[in-house]
Amino acid sequence: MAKHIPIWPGSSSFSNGDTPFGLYDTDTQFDADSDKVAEWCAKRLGYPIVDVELDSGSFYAAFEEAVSEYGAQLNTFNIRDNLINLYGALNLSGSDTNLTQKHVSPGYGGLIGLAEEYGTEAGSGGNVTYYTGSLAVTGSQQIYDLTDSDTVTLESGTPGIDSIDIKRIFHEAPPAIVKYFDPFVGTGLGSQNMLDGFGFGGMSPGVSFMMMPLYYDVSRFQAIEFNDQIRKSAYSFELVNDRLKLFPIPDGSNFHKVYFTYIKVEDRFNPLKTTRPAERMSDFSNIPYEDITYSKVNSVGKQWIRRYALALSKEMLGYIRGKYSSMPIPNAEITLNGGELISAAQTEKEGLIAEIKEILDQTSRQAQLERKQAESDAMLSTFNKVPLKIYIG
Amino acid sequence: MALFGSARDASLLRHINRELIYDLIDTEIAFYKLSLPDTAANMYDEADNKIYYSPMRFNCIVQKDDKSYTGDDSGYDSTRTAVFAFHRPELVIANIIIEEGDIIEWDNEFYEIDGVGASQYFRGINPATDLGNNLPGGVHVTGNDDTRPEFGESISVVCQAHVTRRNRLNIQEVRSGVNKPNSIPRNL
Repeated sequence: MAKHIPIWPGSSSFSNGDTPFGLYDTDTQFDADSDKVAEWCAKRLGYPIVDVELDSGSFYAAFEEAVSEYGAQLNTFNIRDNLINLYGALNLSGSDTNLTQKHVSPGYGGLIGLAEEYGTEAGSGGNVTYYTGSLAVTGSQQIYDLTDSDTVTLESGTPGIDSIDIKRIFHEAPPAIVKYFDPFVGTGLGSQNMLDGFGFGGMSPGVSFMMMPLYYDVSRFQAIEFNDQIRKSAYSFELVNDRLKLFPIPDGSNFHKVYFTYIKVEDRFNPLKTTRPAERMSDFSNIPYEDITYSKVNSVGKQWIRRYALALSKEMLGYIRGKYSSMPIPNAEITLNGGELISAAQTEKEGLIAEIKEILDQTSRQAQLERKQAESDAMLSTFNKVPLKIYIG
Repeated sequence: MALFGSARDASLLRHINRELIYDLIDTEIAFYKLSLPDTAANMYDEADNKIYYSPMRFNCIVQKDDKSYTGDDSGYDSTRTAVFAFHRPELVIANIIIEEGDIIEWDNEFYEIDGVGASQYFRGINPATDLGNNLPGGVHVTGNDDTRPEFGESISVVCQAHVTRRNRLNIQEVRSGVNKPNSIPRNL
């Protein structure tokens, strides 16, 4: 017995479960529109003048895919536009776990997350811990090995075992302010400051104060710093690999310890620095944009969906009519228009995708701000051309 | 098992043929089936007075040839041949078997069928005679079970016919009064 596969009979009746994925079947508006879209597509493909070798399920599948494609384009745009605001955020919980068709407030969370990497290296924050270490110096030894556990003390880690990256070495001359009140320190022709620089000064018996103008204090600071810089040996160091070279050479009395801050190199390579990393939004794939709600789509979106459903239906019909390059009819053969339908449908699909991408790009935050700026500039230009009153006093 | 030409595909083919022959081309003929029980034959199994069943309307694709003329001492005569290609599934539904000797009326002419062929198959398979489908449980030479669903389709019944004299048919009244095109056969 010959099998009979029904084709579009001219009408349909949608019910829950008629679409392949069933993503929108429970949406009453999708339910109502399914049959209308099927009828519209069939009529646009030539029914009832010619038969359309599709059935209602084909149209429903095209309609569902069109809604999903619209949602995918929309969600892709929103993820791109909001990723910086969502990157690193904890996954949503409770009833509010879906960002689709919801307003996302911009914030600095993601931006600061990115900036933390720079902060780590710049020493102005970041997410890698700065530890403190010290080096015990001895008289007459200028070069020290930072992997030597006898002389180096680390807050975290073991010298010579844990790889560390020195961020700062505190080896510098005392600031001018500590010498300001030293009565033995002089500037200009005095020799007291030189003695102090070599460790012979710094003894402060009774001190008397006199109120002086501020510029006088500033001048004295400058004089002291110039004096230290020109007449005295500047504090300096050189760090190459694990060797630290100090200057001036420690003599056992001028300083006994050199402090430094460091990070552990392994901390820098730790990719999961945040707490509960598995529960955070990390990339394009887990930003919680789900399937859209069809009934919330406005008329502009619905028209796009209908046109895309038509293009999909046309493509399907093209594949059906094009399965055989020629179809036998009694005593002859004919060629159907499958190729033309596929070609037209693909052009329409590409056009619709390009259209929605362009529209969405024009509505990005950046584009809106640029437009606002252009409006503002245009408005200013208009106001500038308004004649001003001439004041006559 | 064949990949192309399944019953599903054959159904599509039927839809397309039906639409083409009935909705788009829509060439209609009247088919007169020879009634053998009502036709008396002589001792040579010849029948001078043939009786036909009531006509049935079918759509088909007609390829009409030009008239050919012959002349001899008796005078001139003319004839014409044509090919009538029927969509076989419609004949199956109507339970009609076309045979030589049946009559087709078309374009105000009566054609007697000289030859009938039904050898145009979709994907080269006639499902009515396909062993793979009609001998379930058969074993292929490869050792595999060769039972399979229905494939292919017998598409057409193609009739070679020639124009015949209508006064021999007893279908229309001729030689009296005015010919009445498409009149009801008098032998009914």
